[in-house]
Formats: sequence, C-alpha cells, structure tokens
Amino acid sequence: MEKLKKKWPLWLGVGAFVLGTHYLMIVIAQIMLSGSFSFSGLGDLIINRLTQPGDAPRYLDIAENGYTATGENAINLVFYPLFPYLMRAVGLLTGSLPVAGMLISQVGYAAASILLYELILLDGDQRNAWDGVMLMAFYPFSMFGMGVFSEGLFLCLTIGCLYAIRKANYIAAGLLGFLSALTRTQGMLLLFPAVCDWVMRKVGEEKRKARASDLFLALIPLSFCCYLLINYLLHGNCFQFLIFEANAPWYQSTKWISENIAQHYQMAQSNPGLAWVIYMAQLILYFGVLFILFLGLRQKANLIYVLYGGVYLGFSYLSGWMISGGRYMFACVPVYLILSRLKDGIPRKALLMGSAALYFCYSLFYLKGFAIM
Amino acid sequence: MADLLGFLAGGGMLVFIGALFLRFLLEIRVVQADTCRLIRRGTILTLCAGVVYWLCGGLTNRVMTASMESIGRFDQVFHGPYIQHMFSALQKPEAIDPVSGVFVMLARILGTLLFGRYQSGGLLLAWALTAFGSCMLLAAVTKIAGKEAGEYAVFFMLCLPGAVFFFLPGWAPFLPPLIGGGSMLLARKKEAFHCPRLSDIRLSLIISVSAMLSAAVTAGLVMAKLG
Repeated sequence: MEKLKKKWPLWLGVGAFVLGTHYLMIVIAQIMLSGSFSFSGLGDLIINRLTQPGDAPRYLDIAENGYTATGENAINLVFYPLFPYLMRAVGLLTGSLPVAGMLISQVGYAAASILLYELILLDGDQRNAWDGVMLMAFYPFSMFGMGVFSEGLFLCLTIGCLYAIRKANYIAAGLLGFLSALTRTQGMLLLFPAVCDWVMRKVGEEKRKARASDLFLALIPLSFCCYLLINYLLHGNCFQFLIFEANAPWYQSTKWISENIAQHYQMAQSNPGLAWVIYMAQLILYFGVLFILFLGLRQKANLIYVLYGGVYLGFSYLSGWMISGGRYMFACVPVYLILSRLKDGIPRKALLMGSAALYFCYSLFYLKGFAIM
Repeated sequence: MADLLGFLAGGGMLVFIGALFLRFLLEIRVVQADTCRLIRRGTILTLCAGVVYWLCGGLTNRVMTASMESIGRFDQVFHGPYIQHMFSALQKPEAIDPVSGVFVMLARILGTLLFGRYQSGGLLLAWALTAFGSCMLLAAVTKIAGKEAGEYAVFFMLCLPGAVFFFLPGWAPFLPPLIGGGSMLLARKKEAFHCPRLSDIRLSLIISVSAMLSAAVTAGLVMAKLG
C-alpha cells in the first residue's frame, strides 16, 4: 500500500506517456493523410484502422456470437478465448464491443508498460527502466497495442508473469501464465522461463526448497489443455484448430526456420509492394532479435529472459506462410529487457532515435491502410 | 540468396541454443566459468574454420565452375563421389560402410528434430562433432603446454589438408573427437609427456602452408563436378 501511494504518479506518467504517444501519432497521421485536422476524421481513422482490419472482425465475432461449430465462422476457433470473452464482459458496461476491445487493449498496454518499468528496475535504474518503456512504445509495430487485438492484454499478462517469476511468486506466475496462454499460443512458452527459474533457485546458490505452491506453474500447460477441450467440445477433435490453420485463409504449416526465412526472401522478391511492410521486415526482425539475444548472453542478462526470447523467436518463426511477424515480435519482451541495459553512449541514443523514426513510418503505413497485419 | 539467408537463420538459432545451454550449465554450476570460456573459444574457432572452408568452397564454385548455385546449398557446392553418396544417403538411406552408417543414423535423428531436413541434420552433426573435438584438444594441450600452445594445436588440426571433410557428412567428423579424446588421455600423464617447443614463427608458417593445402583440397572437392 505504501509502495502504491509512492509510485502511482510515476506509474500514471508511464501509462500516459505510452498512450499519449500513440494518440499523438494518430492525430499526426490524420492530419497528414487528410490534409487537415477534424474530430470526425480522427474518429473515422480510429474506427477504420483500430477496430476493423486484420483479426479484429474475428475477435468481435467471437465476442458477439461465441465460438460456433458450423458455418464459415467456425474457423474463428483458431483465436484463443480470453481476449474476446473479456471483450464480451466489458462490452456489457461500455455498450459497444469495439470500444470494449480498444479499452482492454489500451489498459493492458499501459499496464504492460508499468510492469515492464518495474521489472527492469529489479536489475537496473530509472534510466534503464524508461529506456525499456520507450523501446516498447516506439517499436515499429506497436500500434497493434491500441486496437482490437490481443497484443495489449498478452503483453500485460506476460510481463506480469515474468515479474512474478523473478520474485519467486510461483502462484502468481502460474495464474498469470495460465491467462496469458489463454490469450495467445505463445503464452504457453512462459513455462520455459518459469521452470528454468525454479531449477536455478533449487540447484544454484539459493538452494530453495520445493514447496506445494510451486505446482501452480502447472497451470501454464493446463491452459493449453483447456483450449484443446474447447476444440473437442465443439468439433470432437482436440486439434481441430490445426486443421483450420492449415487451410484458407492462413495455410499455416510448421517448418524449420531456414525454410521459412528463405520463403520470406522469395516472397519479398516476387511481391515488391509487400516486401518492406511484411517480408523484409520479418527477415530483418528475425536476425535483429537473434543478435539481441546473443547480446543478452554476452551482457549476462538474466537467463530466463534470454531463454524466453529464444523460445519465443524460434516458435514464432517455425510458422510457414507467416505474415504477422512484426506484430508477433512486438510481444517479444526480452528485446526491451536486454536493450534497456545498454550503457549510455552512441549505440543507445542511435537505437532510440532509429526506433522512434521507424515507429513513425510503420505507424503511418498502417494507419494509411497498407497490409501490415 | 534465399538459401543463404535460410542457412544463416537456422544455423544462428542452433548456435544460440548451444550457447544458451552452456550458460544454463554455468548458472546451475555443472561447469565452471573457465570451462565455459574454453568451450566458447573452441567452438568459435571451429565455427570460424568451418565458415572459411564454406566460403572457399562457395567462391570456387562461383568462379571456377561458373555455377549459380546458392552458397547455402552444401550438397550442390561440394562434390566428389563419397560426399554425394553421403548427401543422398541422408535423404534416403542406402547401403553404406558401418562408420558412415552410424553417422547417417545420428544425422537422421537430428534431421527429424529439424522437421525433416536430414542434410541439415548431417551438417549440424559434423560441425558439432568437430567443435567437440576442438574443445577437447584445446583443453588437453592447454593443460600440457599452456593457452597459446592449445590454440596452435586446434588451428593445426583445423588446417590439416583435407580438414574440410570434418565439416561435411561422413566418417571424417568422428576424427576430431578421437584426436581430442586421445589428447585428453595424454594430458592426464602430463609429466610423462615432453612437448617440444617451436617458435611462434615456425608454428605460424606451418599453419599457413597447411591452410593453403587444405584450401586446395576444398577447391578440388568443388571442381570435382567438372569431371
């Protein structure tokens, strides 16, 4: 309680900075795209680009109608349930599902930024913590944290889980990991840093004794079992979602990273219009994140961060025909954790500058309607 | 270019997994910091040597054979009947000598983990065995004669004429672990083992000439396709 009283102005400042930056970007984009400012233009831009593109209509459909066993919307099963059902609940208060979706995303995103700030403070100082917050806010594809997408909520639950793991609060870690895994598939991967931390505390210097509460970590894989149960109840097949993902419109498959990266390059060559918004961006992000993870090893960053970053990157890039790599890497939290540790100097300043510039460009492209998804 | 990027991406991830595992062993105190540093040095030396041979082969392939094959396709860059036989045995098991057969079996297990990329599994196994052997050799010679001697020993092994075969599927990648293992046994009897001291200049000359001959073998392996 004392900590809350002392910290709430700072936390409010962090949240306000993150959301304020994005709304400023939306205003600038509205002026640049239409030639002048108008509230109605701003409203149209928000509705058109934050509540309608990409996966947003599917989340809204699940929130309104739930999962269905038949019909063309049966394929919505591939989207995990927490975000849309939370939208449904909040929608009862707001009276509008799109508004509920944006509210959940933006509150989640702001909360994620505050949690990231506190997580970085465990190992660094205020400068490091603000660096992490700025890097996440100015990540080129961070506009997805503002709309009817699961990124904001997922980030909040993931960073919360990592914080709980760092505090050896495995009850909270298990519960938050459970919810994160019900939001996106990648949430399951939190089991890796959780178990790694548990092993290191048990076998390392701390020699921590195992406790019954440690079993809460089993909630993380249990979450996936709940999702499989939903598949079974609707379609009589626990893995129905894989069948849907393998067909239109996703055509997803699982292939080794080399094949997928090679494919990204070939797609960039054959689709020049999409090269720099999808395929080359995904290629550069892969090598960039891999480099950052090696940097993390060299910096002796906390092993659970590097481990989580590695499994997250590897898992994401095992997907064939991926077109949302930019959005997926937005939630690769270890990137911000590792880069926030850079010593003050030219690389750090250049990184902040470059990140902000790319954030502007890609946010403008997204708000204009380019195929960033 | 696509295959090259794919190779770098997949290879980079595998190197990362290895480095992460080593760091984990360090965190839970299964290995000491000195051992970690040694493993890191030995592995980096091996990777660099492998890259040199790979570039040498790729360059020769482009210039001497005027081939437009991707440098990332080892099976298309390096030729010679045994190498081609090994590459095809990795894809589809066929009759082969027992030692190479063991290699194929292990490589196919790795290839299964890489979602059916058996040739990649073979290359991964070859590079891993060579790195393992290099680390053992480095540890052994460092114990006998010091850090510099250890490094020279590893360079000497990796510059042997024909060392390119350590990085290709076959029975040759089993040699570095044998050399390294033998050295570790010798290192136990350090007092009984007298290491002759050669000057840095002589050692450097030996390594340079050896590397040049090794590059010749590498180029020959590529130009074998010209018949």
